Amino acid sequence: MVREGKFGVHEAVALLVTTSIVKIFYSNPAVVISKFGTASWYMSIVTATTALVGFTFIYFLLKRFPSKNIVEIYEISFGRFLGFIFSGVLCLFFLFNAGLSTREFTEALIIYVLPLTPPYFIVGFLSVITAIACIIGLESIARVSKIFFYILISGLVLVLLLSWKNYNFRYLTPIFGYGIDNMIVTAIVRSSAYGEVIIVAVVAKSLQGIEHIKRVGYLTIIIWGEVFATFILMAYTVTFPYTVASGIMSPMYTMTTLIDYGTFLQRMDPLFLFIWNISAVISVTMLFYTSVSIYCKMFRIQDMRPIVLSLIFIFFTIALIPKDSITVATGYVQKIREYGWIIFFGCPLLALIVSVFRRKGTGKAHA
Amino acid sequence: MPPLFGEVLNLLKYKKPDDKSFELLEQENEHTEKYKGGKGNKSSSSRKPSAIEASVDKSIDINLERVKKEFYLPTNSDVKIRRFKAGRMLNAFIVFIDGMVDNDIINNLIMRQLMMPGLFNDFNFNEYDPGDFIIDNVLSINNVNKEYDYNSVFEQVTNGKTAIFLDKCAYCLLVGNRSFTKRNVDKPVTENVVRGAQEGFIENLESNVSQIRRIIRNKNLVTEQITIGQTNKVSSTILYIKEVVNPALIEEIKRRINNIEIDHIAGNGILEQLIEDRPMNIFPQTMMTERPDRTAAFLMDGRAAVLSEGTPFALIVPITFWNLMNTSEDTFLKWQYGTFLRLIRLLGMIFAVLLPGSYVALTLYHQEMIPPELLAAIASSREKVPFPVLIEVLLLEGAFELIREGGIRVPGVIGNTLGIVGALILGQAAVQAGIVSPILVIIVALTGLGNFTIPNYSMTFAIRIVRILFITLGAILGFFGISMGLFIVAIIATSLKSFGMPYFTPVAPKGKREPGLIIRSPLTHQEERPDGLQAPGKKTGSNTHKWTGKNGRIVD
Repeated sequence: MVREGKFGVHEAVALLVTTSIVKIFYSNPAVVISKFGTASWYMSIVTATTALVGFTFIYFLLKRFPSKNIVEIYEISFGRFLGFIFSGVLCLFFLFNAGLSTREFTEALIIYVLPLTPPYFIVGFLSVITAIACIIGLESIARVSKIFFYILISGLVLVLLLSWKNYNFRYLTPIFGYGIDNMIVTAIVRSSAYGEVIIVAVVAKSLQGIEHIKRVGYLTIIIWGEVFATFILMAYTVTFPYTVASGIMSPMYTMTTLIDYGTFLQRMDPLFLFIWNISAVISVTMLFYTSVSIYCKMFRIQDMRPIVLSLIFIFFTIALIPKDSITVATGYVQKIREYGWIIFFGCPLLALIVSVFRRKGTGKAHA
Repeated sequence: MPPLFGEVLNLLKYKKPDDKSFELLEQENEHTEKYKGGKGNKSSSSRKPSAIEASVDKSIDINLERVKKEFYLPTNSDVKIRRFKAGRMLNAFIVFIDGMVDNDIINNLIMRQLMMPGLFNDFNFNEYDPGDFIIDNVLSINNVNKEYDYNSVFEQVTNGKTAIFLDKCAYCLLVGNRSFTKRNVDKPVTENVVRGAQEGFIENLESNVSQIRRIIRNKNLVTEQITIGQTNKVSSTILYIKEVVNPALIEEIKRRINNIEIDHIAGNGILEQLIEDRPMNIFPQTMMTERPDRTAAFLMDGRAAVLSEGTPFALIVPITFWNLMNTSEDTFLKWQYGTFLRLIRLLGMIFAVLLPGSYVALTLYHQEMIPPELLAAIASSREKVPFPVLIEVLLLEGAFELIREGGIRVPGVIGNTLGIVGALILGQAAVQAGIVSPILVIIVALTGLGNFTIPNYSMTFAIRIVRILFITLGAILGFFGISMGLFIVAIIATSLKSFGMPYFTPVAPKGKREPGLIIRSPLTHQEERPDGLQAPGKKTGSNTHKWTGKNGRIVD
């Protein structure tokens, strides 16, 4: 099997939080605010709680098949052929997610920072970086994300604190947004925003046992969903009226440009730019790596490097498929958010049910 | 095939992952028990296959011919052979290298005593072995031993010992009377400290080992001898503390050193390159120090040191990135001062790596991020400069590197003067000529100062090279390029291991908190050895002042 190295809970949480958190730097908050209005900030609590339930199914599944990854579990639960299909769908989903995430980041970068640079150049550059990182390996990606995690969190907190002057808490009203019932239903569907947590099931053997996996999964969703997403969305809501916020491509970047404490403490864009870029590349790398990892596990390929080099071209092509930033932000990405839960949480739940009925795994059912 | 091209080609080939990579893991106790080591205790693995299989012959004439042949006599002028009759009854000869031995010992304690018949009165061929008799009754020298293997005899003679060959004996006696001119112990040149010992290593191996012994007065300090280099056969010593070090680490060091097949090793600098985990990687994976106190501190942590003849530096393994950024001074001072120094150094490193690249990125891509007054100052200062900012930065960086290299190579005081005068005149003239802008002189000067704060010489090179990458990336893609560069450099660095220990331990992978990071914790909090070393003896002690309460707090 593919040797992916070992890493601990800290590295895994840092990796998964960084992989997930970047979507809040792009167009995602604008779409969320357009759908939920002033209720966006606590919508993330409902979404994250749904994701916690979803992860519980993944956890039960992994507990039922100790020391197995999701690809092996699908094969055991559904049989070789169906399991192969399920794993293949997951692999493709991650590959598309990585490509589209890259394009979304590229478009935001072009809008705010590099207006004259063609998208293919940025995507190509990112592809090279991603390929190098994947060849170096998962262990190193996890370690790097751990090192940058401190900087990422400190930077985010700093930006949120320095934006204090721009906060207007009256923007939080009406508190229920477009209606609490609408909010809850849509929030549950959007639980795929935390779906990257399934990565722990793909690289399960790199973590030290099921208890670690449980801690990583729950901590990731709690830190990212219940804490950061809530505070960041609240900061957006109190900085921009919801009618304005729903039209901003990257509200976080715009927030940093509004920071002004005199001539020499203004415009925190450089600080944010580093955080944004590095977390984006970690996220893209991890999404891409996951698809490569699943592919190699499906075909029992032990050396990942030639596969990385092949798939990176497909990744590059996928990233360039969308016509423009609007197509990416309101089209592809929203479809992933709305239907992603089927692949992230639905398939593992189905596998769990099938494994219980087919009496596969340890037999100690926890579902 | 060039190694870099080979590496690239390897990416395209499918191959099963190999299991050869060494990982420093915690060892079972049984392993520790099994491990045999000791002073002068050459383990079986440390012996190289002998090129000359023959043992010492019983016939003195055959031995004499053999020695003459092997040492190319009479062409070789400094190899001396002296024939004589021991106790007027036993044919013998001694062989030594002039200039590497103490002549007084040869004249007064070897030749005189061996040629004194009175000392052989009790000798009888039937009762005594001649060698044993001489060792027990004739030579009043402490360091004498029998050697049967020719290969070892030649090695020891070239290392400064005197060999005594006796007729009818299939061995020779080796007398340790090594003595040659060496410089006195002096201040360390590359690792100055204000507080702390002012002694550095010298080129003499025994002297260096004794300096460590003077600091660590513990029987568990093991100094294991090993020979490196197929032709020049440099003596090296692996130092470690038996109870503290992970035995797998010592086995790995010996495995790597014993598998070096090289003709000539001129010191630890070459050895470092031959035993590091990833020779193609730009970052240093071992550490050189010329301070005995620092070497001792590393040994106490559970690391190992390799000292070689002719090199005033100890090679420390394994190391982490944090070790390369710290100095002895940090520990000699109060923890607050030590932490302050480390923060300054960290700032220096950030300047050294990112400042010129960020300047290029800011002026080319992100002008809106510069406060208006500063932007106006930069714009007016660049008004007369005809070059693009990238060329301007590379020109000045190049000039700075030239001054630096020139300053090192020019001898003595002139070197320092050249550095200062060169920088002043060149900078001033370049600004006046409109080749570079004044603000860039400040940027490059700050970068240079930042680079000088990095305490490890090899690390400064890595950072100087990486800086050029960041300047280029800043010019191509602004801050985005620099961020990507940071990510790649970080991922390459985190993938590194130094003798199986991850480079960024204990941050990534997470280990127990240790004092070697950015914040230097108080001595009373330093109760455990570094986690990543997987040392059997993890606890250093309670480290509390007995006159205070727990953790050094004063009891009211």
